[in-house]
Amino acid sequence: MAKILGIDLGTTNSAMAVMRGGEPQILENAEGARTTPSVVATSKTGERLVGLIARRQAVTNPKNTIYQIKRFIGHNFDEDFVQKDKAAVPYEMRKAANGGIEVEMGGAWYRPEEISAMILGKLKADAEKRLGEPITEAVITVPAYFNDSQRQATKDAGKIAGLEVKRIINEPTAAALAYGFNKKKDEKVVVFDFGGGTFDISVLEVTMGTEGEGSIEVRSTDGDAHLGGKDIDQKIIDFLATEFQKESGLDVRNDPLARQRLDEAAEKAKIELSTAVDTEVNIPFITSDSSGPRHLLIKMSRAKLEELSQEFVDRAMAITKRAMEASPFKVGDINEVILVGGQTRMPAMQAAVEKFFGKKANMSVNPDEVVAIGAAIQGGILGGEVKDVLLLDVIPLSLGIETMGGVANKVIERNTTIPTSRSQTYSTASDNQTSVEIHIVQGERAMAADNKSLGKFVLDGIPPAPRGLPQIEVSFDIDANGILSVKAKDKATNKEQSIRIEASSGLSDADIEKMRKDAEQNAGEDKKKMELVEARNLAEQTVYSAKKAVDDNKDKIPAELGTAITEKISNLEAKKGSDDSAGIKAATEELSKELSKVYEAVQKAGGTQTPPPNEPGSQSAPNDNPETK
Amino acid sequence: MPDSADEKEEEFIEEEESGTGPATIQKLREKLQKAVEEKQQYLDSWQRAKADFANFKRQEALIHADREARILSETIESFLPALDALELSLKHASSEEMILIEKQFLDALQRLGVEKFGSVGEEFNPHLHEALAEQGKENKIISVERSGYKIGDKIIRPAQVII
Repeated sequence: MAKILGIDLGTTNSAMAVMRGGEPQILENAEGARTTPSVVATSKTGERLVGLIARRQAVTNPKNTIYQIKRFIGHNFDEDFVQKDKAAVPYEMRKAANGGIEVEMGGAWYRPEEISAMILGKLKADAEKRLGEPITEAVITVPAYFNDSQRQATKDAGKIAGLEVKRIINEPTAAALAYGFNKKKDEKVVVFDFGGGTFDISVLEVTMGTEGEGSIEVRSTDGDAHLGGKDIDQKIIDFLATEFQKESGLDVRNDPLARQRLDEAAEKAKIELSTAVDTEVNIPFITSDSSGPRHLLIKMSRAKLEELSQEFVDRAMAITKRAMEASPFKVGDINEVILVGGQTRMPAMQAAVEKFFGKKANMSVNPDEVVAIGAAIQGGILGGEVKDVLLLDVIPLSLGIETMGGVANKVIERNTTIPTSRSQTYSTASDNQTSVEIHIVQGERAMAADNKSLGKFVLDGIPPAPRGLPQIEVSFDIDANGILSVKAKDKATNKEQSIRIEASSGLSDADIEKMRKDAEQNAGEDKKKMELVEARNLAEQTVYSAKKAVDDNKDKIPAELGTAITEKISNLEAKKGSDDSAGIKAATEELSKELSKVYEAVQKAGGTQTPPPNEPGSQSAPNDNPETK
Repeated sequence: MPDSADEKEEEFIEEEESGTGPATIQKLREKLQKAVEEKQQYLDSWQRAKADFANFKRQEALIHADREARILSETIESFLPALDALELSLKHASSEEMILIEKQFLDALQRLGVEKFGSVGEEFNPHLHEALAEQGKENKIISVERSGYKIGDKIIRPAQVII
């Protein structure tokens, strides 16, 4: 089935995503980046450049580098704000024959949709290369305030790029889709989008439709087309330049090279202060004067950043208040708040939003990518991928069997999609063990006794053999209804026994949650128990191997070594019943060393005894031995 | 489609289907028809699921093909500012120790297959270079403010230049 590309065509940056394996996934562009600058240029050598490459030569080719074209798409040349924004960009603009806008690039004139088409064309080509298949259809997002003319122009841009635009959806709607809010009933959702250059706030209402999917309506929208992360970056640059000037007497603001380094450092510091409470901006050799090179080293705290960005946060919250007043809802009616745009990673911004709405905002989906993700989901719905006639379940808790030492050995992990089968091979714990008990448990705890017991059965008739030799294959099979069948088969005799368990799916959601929480809370204690069991099991095996080695090779072992190893065996046998796992490990280690000497001595004496395959250190999981009865 | 034990269709309904009359035969024919249609539907779905999985695996391989290269590139990039500072420092006040340290750094990069690029006189190429300012008349590099680095065709960091 052909994939529908979900595209967030942004003012500063664009992103794309598709549904893969039922999940939306961001696609990286040809340069390996998850976002693509919305910049197009004709280079001095006449080459068409799109994205990061176009941005790299912007400074030296400003008249032929087109950026932020989204501000102009679908507008008429004579509109007030067009005249205003036109003055702020270095490229030429003129009125088109139909009253629209044309921009000049590389000696030719283009409509804004043709420029956007170049960006879309690059995304399309990069997506095709990533996926190894053609892309002919897309869902493209636009701001909620876009009028018909702007939406149509965006659709035209897609067409020019060779994409059939299946739908134009609102950016806040896409964000709501990304969080699955379209599946909720009568929800009021606010989308707070603070990006690089623009701020948008939207109040949405989700009403449940007939097919179990909600329709999302925009009830009010507001924003500021010139408020974004870049404003905060500028404040930081000014702060750093001012501090440096205080220390050095030098103003680096007009030095393009220093400016570039300050730009990068400011953004980096801002990002670091989202997780650290302070950072140090370190720019060696930022400039020089008569006394030689000068270095910038300035500490910056999160508190300082918050002080610098306060006015922008306040402006955003004032606009948010306005949007709420224009909507039919009160602040208290809002069920969910979604954060969009990289700048929302700033703790002060999150705190302001939380304070205003009285609830934590949703930001688990990457705020730079959430709109593209939502567009992909819409594409999936349109393409029929998301609506599935065959709904499969997952098992909510791990299933396993009890092995030596009372350990719960997981055979099928929780959240595995069913129906499924898994098998593992086990062996016996003692010599001449002729039966094994298969005890099936459900849960996340490390020890079987702490999990829920689902059933037991015995497989007997195992031919007598040294421990560890028999191969007992245990298979778990769960059908689509969650009915579990467990079978144990002795590979040597093909004798098998099985049990069918219906109760594995009988737990309530509350029970399941409790079991999971128990496992989390007891993780530390369970880990210690596991370590003790592992230490004891290893001790057992080492004692067994050591005794066997001594018994089989009495004549080949020097007396001293024989005494030493016997002593170590007794020592370990005494210790292995205790609760001191570190002590057991140490004693096992000592015995192991003596045992190596024994094998060496045997080899020297021309013996053929080599360490058995289940010797400590040469085992590989899973090798647990079912509990003997 | 029946998806639970309760809704599972009975394979044989004694009361209705044990007879031999025309009504029974008709009923059985209808049932058979439905079963054949369902079988085809399930087979088709199963085949699609298998095909989707095969395609998914193929695409995963494509998508992750350059993942290692990208991670290496990002790791190296994080160390480059320190190397830049060292090189700037050498320009101003050279010492034997610092030259040796720089050499260690560059040797390590070379062993990883990293190449340095960007030199005065080269034609400006936005695929490799980032222009900070324009001071000359030609489209050539007149100074390299920060060297570029690449591994094979993958650009770790473009060279920052003045043209």
